[in-house]
Amino acid sequence: MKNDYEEFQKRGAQILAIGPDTESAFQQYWAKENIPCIGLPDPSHRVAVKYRQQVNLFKLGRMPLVCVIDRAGRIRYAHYSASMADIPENKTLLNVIDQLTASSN
Amino acid sequence: MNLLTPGEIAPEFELDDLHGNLVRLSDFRGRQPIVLYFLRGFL
Repeated sequence: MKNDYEEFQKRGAQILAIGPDTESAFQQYWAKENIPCIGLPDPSHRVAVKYRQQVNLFKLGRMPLVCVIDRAGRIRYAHYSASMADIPENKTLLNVIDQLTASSN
Repeated sequence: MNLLTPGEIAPEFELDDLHGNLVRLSDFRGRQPIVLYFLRGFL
């Protein structure tokens, strides 16, 4: 995501990253990795539960989830990962955003 | 539990960002598409 941040920006998209870690852990990670997008700590898992982010009991953690939401607030893409490494490619997400833009013109 | 699927309205939420600003999903409505990443955690 970090590498293609400008591509998302060019398309007018905002990236929000929600995670189960504390604010201080987020701040350390964001500074270390120089991450440009908005980080939103959710240590109580309140939003993760609302979005039904899956839990991997074996790995004692949450499985990644990526959604694309259009300007009307509707989900246009949702990928619930089957494994910790199962993350959609940026080009897939950029294509979804391009399609949203094309359909609104 | 049913997973969220394309076509549904995204559930509203609000969380503080790393600068202490309250961010609501609805803040972006009508303005920008959102890519929402739910991370596994850094540890």
